[in-house]
Amino acid sequence: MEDPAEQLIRRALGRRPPPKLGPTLVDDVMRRVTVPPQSAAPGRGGPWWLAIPWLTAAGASMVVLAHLEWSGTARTVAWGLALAVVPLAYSATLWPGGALRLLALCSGGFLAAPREEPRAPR
Amino acid sequence: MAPAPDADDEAIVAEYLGSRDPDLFRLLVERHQERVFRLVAAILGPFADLDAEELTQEVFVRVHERLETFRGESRFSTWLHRLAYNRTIERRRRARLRFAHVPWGDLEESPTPDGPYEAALESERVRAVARLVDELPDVYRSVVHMHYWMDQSVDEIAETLDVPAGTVKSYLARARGRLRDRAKARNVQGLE
Repeated sequence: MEDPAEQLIRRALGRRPPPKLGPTLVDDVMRRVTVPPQSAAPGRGGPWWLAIPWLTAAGASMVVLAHLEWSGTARTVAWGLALAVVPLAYSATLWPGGALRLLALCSGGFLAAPREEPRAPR
Repeated sequence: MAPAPDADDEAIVAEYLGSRDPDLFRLLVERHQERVFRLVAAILGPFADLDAEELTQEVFVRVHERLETFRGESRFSTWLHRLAYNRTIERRRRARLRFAHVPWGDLEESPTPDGPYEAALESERVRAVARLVDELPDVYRSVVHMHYWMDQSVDEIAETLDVPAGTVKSYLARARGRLRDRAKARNVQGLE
């Protein structure tokens, strides 16, 4: 037999019934832990011709860079950027959504319209 | 290959890590789901506004991710229990930053004793007691939830927490003692 204090505790907690375990928990857990094999993405077992646009873009970049009349340092930096960006962009389809959003956020400043320069008075 | 139904957990874990046969992990979940769910629900309590079943799922997903770190130095059930306990406490603390301790709506339907004044007093008293329980240390609060809310016997609680029945009795007694002391300090009647 419970004393009045225990009955009060029971009343205080008993406003909501305790939850019941559903019948699908095991299946739900198994669905979450059994990861399906990744679908083929470009560069990861996809058809070779998917690389053609990227290789074309890379080739065009090289041609443009080779014809720019830049200093040696600027040319080196540009080549470095191109070599880093092209493979990164190629693998972008494999990135998680969060990384893409972050990239879009960071590149927003570069992609924004150029500022209007005030014209010098004639 | 189907696992032997009487195989112990540690053997099943070892076999699963070698073969990655989903049936082996399913067997572990089936064996422990009820106990983990009870533990999670008890820690969350009636006013936590979190889904105990969803968190139980998360615990098992986490177990799956970390299964390779199980070294067999303790029983699998002890390891699982500790992981479930820590995970749920962490989630509850995060949730408490966002939710009020005891939502009004859950306590307003208190039984009306005699008149509106008495009903209001009773409602306030019940709410104060719920708040006192909510403020108990994690382990005492969980045991109080299991006993008074989930209606579990001392032996059932001992099994869930993987401790001797005497320890559960001691937790309950200490929890009631703390509730009594705090009720006195805050002038809440009925817990003497």
